[in-house]
Amino acid sequence: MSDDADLRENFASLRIEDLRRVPSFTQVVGRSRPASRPDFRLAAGVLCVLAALVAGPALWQSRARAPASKGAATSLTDWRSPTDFLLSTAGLQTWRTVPVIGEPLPGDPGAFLHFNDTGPAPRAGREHS
Amino acid sequence: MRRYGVTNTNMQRELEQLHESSLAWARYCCRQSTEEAEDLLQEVYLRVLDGRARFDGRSSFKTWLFAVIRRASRARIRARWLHLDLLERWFRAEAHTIREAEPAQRFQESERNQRFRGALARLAQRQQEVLHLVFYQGLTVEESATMLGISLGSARTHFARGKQRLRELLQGEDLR
Repeated sequence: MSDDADLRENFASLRIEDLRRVPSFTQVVGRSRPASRPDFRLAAGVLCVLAALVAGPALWQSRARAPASKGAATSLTDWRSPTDFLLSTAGLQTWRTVPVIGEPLPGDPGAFLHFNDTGPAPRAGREHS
Repeated sequence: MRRYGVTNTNMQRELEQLHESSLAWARYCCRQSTEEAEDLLQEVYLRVLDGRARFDGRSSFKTWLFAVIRRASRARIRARWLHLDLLERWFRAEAHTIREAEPAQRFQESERNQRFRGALARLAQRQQEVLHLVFYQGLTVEESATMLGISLGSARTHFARGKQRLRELLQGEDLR
């Protein structure tokens, strides 16, 4: 492809430059191997085993010390939400019990439920002529 | 030892004949690091000579050898990660993933070639590979496709786009 002459020329120039510093075949085959690196996979494995040996018995002991009742699964009906207390607002009992006329309101001994006689009279039904 | 009509002596002769091209390809696979490339090539040569890598005769010897070099370089990169390279670097404070070309070596290169290499390095990996194999190594696009394990159509696309992009970059550098 004549169009690619420019690129071929550049690549040829690179090749000529590279050829100047090519070691011989025997040099490459016979070159000393790089010093073997320590096997870090092995080191990581040994580290994991050591960690398991140290942490394993400690974990086992802590589980053995825990009371049996705590270990039992909590029944669904006994379960309480940890944020249940947020629902305990002031005057909650008022909503849960039926107030009795003449008796103090639950949770508020000073307050009495009574009818207000002076209040507006109940509205009469619409009269039809 | 005789495999597919190629004796060990013949194999060595073949390797010697392709040595310069193989080193250039290995250097390319190792991002222009000569030391790394020679190390990689030694590993491949030994593997070929002691029969761990076997030429099956399905392609030309050069195509097969280049594929072995490429696979070996990829395997090295993968192995580095498996060898907890980060941990090793931390211990040794030595950045050695893929060493860049040595400064002295770079200094020896002509400025023009250096700029050309720079433009080439800015191409996509596949485009670089196809252009190197075709223009530098003298393989056909079809042989390059076989070597890289991609379809001929894909190789042609990489070749055409690579050339176009390289020309654009060279025009920017005024190297054409």
